[in-house]
Amino acid sequence: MTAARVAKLEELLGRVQKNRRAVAEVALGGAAKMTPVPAPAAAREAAAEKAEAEKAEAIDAAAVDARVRAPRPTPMEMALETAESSMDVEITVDDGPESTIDADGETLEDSIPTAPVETRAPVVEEKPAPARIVPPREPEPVAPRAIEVAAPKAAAVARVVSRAPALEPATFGELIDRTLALRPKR
Amino acid sequence: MAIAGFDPGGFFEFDLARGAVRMRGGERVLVLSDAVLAPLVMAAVQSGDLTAVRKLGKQLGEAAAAGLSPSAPSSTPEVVLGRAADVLSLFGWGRLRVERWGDALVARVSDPPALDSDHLGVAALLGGMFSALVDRDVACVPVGSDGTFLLVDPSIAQQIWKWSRAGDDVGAIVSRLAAEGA
Repeated sequence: MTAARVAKLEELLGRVQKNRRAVAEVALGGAAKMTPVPAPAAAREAAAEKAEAEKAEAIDAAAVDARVRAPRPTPMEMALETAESSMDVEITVDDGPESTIDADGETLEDSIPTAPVETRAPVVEEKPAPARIVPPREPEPVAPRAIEVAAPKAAAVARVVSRAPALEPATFGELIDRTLALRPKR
Repeated sequence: MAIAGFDPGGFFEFDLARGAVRMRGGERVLVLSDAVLAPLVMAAVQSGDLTAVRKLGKQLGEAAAAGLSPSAPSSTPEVVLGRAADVLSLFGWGRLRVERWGDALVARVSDPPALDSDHLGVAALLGGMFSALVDRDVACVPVGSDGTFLLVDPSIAQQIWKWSRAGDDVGAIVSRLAAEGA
């Protein structure tokens, strides 16, 4: 790293600290010079409720986005990281957890990075509780059970409406024909 | 049984001048005693040829059917059987009664001439008579020894005769019969 570059970085750092200080002075000074105006009770309660609601929404959104957000950096982040890594001096400012804004404009806080996988304590897998041994049940004695069958009713299921009349031979020829048609039963 | 329309009076014409007896239709007949006829019938039974007796029966049937209007097959059984019974009586062959056992017909001849012990002569005569009445072959088979006959088709006459000789009565024989194709 050249001396010129170091000087440039120091100048840049000084400018950043100067800007932060200026912003803090303006913010603190403004607040000290302002005359507090007593707000109405209703306005104070409405403001408190609004703040609580925004807080609850932020918590919900964070909980949801933390689950949805992919842990992998976006291509833009990867590009920036590559550009920054090319610099010899790394400047890290610990401003607390980084905040991002989701698509709804809500401010989200990243979760704290966990330790590398190698440094994690071995996860002790809980052994499944031994299955409770249930003594085999004695087979219940099977008692004969009658199958109920619909019993036919007393009424006749079929009724003869008309019976073919036993035709008497009307002529002697018919009488003889029936007689001569008789054969020994087989 | 008196059947209207059949008048036995004048059925035979005795022509004493010529010495001939003729039936109403003109056929000549002979008056014979059963004592003469019986040996002839016995001889026919032993020879197995009762054609002559059967032919006599056909003449009786034709005599019974003569004058029937409508014809015998188209007339009621009562009319036809009444005529047959009257003609049979007129020729001295006994009194005929016919019974129905289901579809079977049983003819009973009371006081028949004593021709043969098995009544085969009367059976042949009745067969000839009924055949002439309906114009088709009818066999009469003796059942028992009391002048009872079963009217059957000639093709089963031998079987009926065997059952009868074995001692079966009319009821037993009829129970063994059924309508053809049933």
